Amino acid sequence: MHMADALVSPAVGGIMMAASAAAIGVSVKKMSKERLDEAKLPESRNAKYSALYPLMGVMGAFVFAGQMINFTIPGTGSSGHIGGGILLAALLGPWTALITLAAVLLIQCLVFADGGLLAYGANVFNMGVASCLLAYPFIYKPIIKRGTSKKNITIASIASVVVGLQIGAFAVVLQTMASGVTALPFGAFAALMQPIHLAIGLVEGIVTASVLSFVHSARPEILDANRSERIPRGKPLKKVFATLVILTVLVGGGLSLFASSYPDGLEWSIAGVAGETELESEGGVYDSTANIVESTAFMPDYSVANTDESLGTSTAGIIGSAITFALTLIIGVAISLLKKKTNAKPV
Amino acid sequence: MPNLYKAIPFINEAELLAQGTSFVHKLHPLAKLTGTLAYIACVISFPRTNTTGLSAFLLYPVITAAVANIPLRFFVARLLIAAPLSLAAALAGLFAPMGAQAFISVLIKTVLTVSAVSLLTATTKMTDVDAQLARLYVPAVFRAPFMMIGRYLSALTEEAAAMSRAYSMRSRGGKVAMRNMGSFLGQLILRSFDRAGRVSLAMKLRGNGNAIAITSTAHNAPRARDLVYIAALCAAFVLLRIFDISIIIGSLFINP
Repeated sequence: MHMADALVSPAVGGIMMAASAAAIGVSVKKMSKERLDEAKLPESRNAKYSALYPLMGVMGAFVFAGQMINFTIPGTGSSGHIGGGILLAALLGPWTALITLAAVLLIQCLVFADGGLLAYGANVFNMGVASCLLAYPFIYKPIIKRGTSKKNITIASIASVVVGLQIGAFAVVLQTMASGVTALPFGAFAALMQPIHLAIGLVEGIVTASVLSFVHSARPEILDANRSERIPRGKPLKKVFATLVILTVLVGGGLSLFASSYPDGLEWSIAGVAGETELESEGGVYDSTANIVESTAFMPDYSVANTDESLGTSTAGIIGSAITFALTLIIGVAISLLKKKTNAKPV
Repeated sequence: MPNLYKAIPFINEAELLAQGTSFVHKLHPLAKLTGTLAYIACVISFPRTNTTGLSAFLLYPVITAAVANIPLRFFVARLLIAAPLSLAAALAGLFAPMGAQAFISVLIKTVLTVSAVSLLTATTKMTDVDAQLARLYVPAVFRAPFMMIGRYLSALTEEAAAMSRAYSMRSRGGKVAMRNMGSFLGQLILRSFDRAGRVSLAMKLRGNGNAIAITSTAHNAPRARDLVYIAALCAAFVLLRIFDISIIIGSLFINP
């Protein structure tokens, strides 16, 4: 579900960035308040968070590993990876979870180029805010409040993950449409995105449920819902770490052996629309861009630009592009060669 | 990306390349970040019907990569992650009217934006990114996990790499057999845990508690050349956005 920069417009990217920044800001505020309530020791301002930082780091690495693994969804030929929002929220609480997830997404963007830089806000919203701040407090928590049993955890996990993903998937459709980057019709895109993410949600929900059930049996005190019966201060955080590292390694190392090579859900559903776009995409959005089309038409048969004049312009454009491309390459190679020559000189 | 092990070269490659000493590496991180954002904004602001104007934007990544000595495969590896989704999105509209243009447009945009972000990562150290986030008043609560995830992930993957190398040396270069997976992963868990504990202890011993307090002192304030760089880059991007160089050059050969 990571959106690339090429799929958003600057306006949509900017708006989503502002929305996500606000959500992160609120989370930081809320987290500070929670921590302040808890911290009784007269420590430095930073020290209040100190025990939480490594936990956030390890959990972030866990989600990172989890998102690199695609599960095959039976019967569709598609696959999806976990978002991890609900999992993080259930362990760390929604505010801490959102911040951790935002950090994971930033690393994925910078280190792996997975998800765009200007689309970062959109990705934080679709994968973080939708699950941590919407699905978790309104779906997961009310169910868990009736008692933290394995049954409740399972129901709550599946329901909240499914809802969170539905909100996120719908947000992707809205953002792509508002950006106007593709020729996909809204209805067809949404009609394919929602069901495929329902399937992904079910798979992710079951995975989340099994992980949370395991944590509930092994170390119940680290679940956010069990915080009131928190372990006394000084009990080794080591075991918590060990559990998390074990899960991280198992998911990252073990399950990845079975990870599928199918495209993920978003890719699948967009590809699925291909057959229908031919029928539905006439006029509408295209008319509004007619002026630009006219000057830059690439395939005159399809476009309004059928006159000799615009054909000339487009030919000029293509030739010009080719020359620009060639010049760019020559400049690049020249700089590289020049640098190599300079470096080769004995000092 | 199929598994964590293949991620090791990715993580390390960017950090290693960022140790370079070229002109681009020495620029202020904030200047590079501003330039990259301006570049992406200009590129993605092109309507999907305009493909010729985009080609001139290839100049920035090509020149920067050449100056900074960033190999082509660095970009290709990252493009392989980002391309499938964009490709699918673009392919879907291929048969619609003007679909071919939208297809080419999304494709070029993906190449350009991914290259730009990759360049930023390949020329800027993580600690510098962290320092700039601090400068932009991003709270430590966000920056600490950001740095921590990088630490824990590389600690984990490096241990895994060392173990698989040792294993392959003992087993005539073979891959880890399924029956050994249990003890292999068990070892990895112990090592990773030890490693994370050592990192945490080392930080405590250095007086950091468990919080990350590493900020780069290399770039305190933007210098004149950084400001010139930002100004020149932004001006160039805006000009290229307004004037379609490809059409202008092409018009020299064909009179429209």
